[in-house]
Amino acid sequence: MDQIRHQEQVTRAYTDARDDVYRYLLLLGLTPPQAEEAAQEVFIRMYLALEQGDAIQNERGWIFRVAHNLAIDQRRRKEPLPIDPEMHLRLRDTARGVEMDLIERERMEELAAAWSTLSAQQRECLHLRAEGLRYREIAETMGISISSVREFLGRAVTRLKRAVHE
Amino acid sequence: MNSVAPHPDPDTLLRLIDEDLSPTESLAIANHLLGCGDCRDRMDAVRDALDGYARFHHDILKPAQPAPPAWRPLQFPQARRRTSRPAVWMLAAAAAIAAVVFIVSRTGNPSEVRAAELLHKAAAAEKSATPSKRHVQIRRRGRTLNWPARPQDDPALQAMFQSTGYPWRDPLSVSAYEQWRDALPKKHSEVRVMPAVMVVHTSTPAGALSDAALTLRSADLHAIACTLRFRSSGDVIEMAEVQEQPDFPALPPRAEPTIPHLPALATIADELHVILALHKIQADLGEPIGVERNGAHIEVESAVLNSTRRDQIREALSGNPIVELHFEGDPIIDDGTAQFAAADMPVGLTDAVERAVDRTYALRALARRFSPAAEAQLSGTDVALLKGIVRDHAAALGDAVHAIRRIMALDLDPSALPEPPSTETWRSIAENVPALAGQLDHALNSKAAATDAHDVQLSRLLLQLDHQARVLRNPR
Repeated sequence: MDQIRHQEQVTRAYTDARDDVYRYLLLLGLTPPQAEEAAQEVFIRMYLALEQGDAIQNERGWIFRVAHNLAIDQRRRKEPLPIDPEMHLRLRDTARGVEMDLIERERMEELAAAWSTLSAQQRECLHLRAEGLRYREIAETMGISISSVREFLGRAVTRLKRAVHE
Repeated sequence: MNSVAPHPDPDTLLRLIDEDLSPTESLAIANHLLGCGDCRDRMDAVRDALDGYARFHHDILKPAQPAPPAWRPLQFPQARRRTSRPAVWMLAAAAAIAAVVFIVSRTGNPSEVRAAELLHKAAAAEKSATPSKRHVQIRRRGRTLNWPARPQDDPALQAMFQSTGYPWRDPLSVSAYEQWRDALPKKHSEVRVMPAVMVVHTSTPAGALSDAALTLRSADLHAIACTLRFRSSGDVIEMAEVQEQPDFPALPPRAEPTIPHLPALATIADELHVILALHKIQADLGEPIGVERNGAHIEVESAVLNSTRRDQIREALSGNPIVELHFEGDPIIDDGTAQFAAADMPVGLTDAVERAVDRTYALRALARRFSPAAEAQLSGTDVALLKGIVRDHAAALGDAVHAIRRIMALDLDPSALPEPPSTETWRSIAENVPALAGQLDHALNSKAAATDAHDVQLSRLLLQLDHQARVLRNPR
């Protein structure tokens, strides 16, 4: 009975969060095929953990933490995919970009330029925050202290602030 | 009342928005905001940045990384269920030891027999060795725990360790490893023999840990390191014997090492030397470069893309064998237009403010990385090096403040500023200067509405920063 219940729980989580996990893995430097495989592996591990009787208190936090660990393991083996430094140029080509008014598009370009100067950890903190994780959950996901999360977010927001207000 | 309350720094405003402050702190800041228009403006600026990023995240980043068009359905494996809880394992451990030894001898699996024999010999050596005070450092990605435990240790890490069922009593020992290994219903062990050490690696299909590796010194089969890996999350815990602890009397130095040199855990002094090397090329001013101790190494991760800058960073760290340097992304070939580490005077107002802000953040990062407890582990020479970095940043901060004064043509009257208490340490000043620089940045951004009062506020901020920079040139 538990087995079926666990499979249903994991399938539900997989449907809800797989796209977010996939994008997070890309941010951490995995290639699209690696990210797709690792995203599946996250949910298989979740199922195994439930089957072994592990209590998963915060499902979303747990999923991102395991994704982080898988990405670190992958990156130790291979060179990561570059994070696109020309994001601001590509903005002009996105379908959504066409619908944006000029001011908003300029603001997005400024933000993209500022984003590209952030450290990998600052980006990761911002990304996880935007995915709804709290500071404690971000710290657990990345294996760093809460004060480091505050530091990374603080510095990142300082740079973004300048981009928005310039 | 609000006018005399300290202005919250931008980080605190961010934490207020993110509900990361205690109710008391939140209330105090909210009260301050009610009476302080400047801080309300700063709060709005933080909100604008966060809102802007949220739109960027959802409208730009996400569409730029489309998810796979069709996900494969999950293929659930046949999971092995726990037959008993860890606590029961522990109770059954003594009985299991005899049973497993018997099974090993019957199976005839050479690797199992070899591992069991080696552990048996090592356990006997451990029992007959002269008891001595051992100190073990336990690490999990940046968080550290000591054995025997100390009051400042992370209780969450200790709880996590103990949840594995791995023995906490003398965790880095052959007996602990044997106790864990022998309690496993199924396992596979291998022994790797290296020049100075032998490593017993055991993996198991059930239980909280997927595998564990114990490193024994070949000379006397003494356990010197152990790695545990969690099955579900892939998290790794590393244990290593540390020779010297600041809370205990230092061991007398040996004239001649009797065993081959083995890699020790990287220390705070090693971390300082890496920071210093980066500082010399001014790569500690907000460039995307992370420095973290990881086992015997200092990991330096950088998202710097410019090829010339990468070469400079490589060159700066090349003499340090324990540094593991990783760059993210393909380099962009330098076309000669990029500038780094400009040491001359700032040329414009924006440049000068940027430099001041960067220096204040660098000072605060230094204060946080090298806490008083960390500094206590440094030698006198290393403390001098640390303070030298503080002085450099302070001098550059002073130069930037001077440039702002010159560009803004502001006459500053030092008597307008009360002398700050002389008891301030460089760390307490370093904690506060980013807030001052943030206020200065904000005040200069509002210069379109400049008035005399505005100039007075600017002058006051510049004086405060100038004073702090001068105090920091002689850090205590």
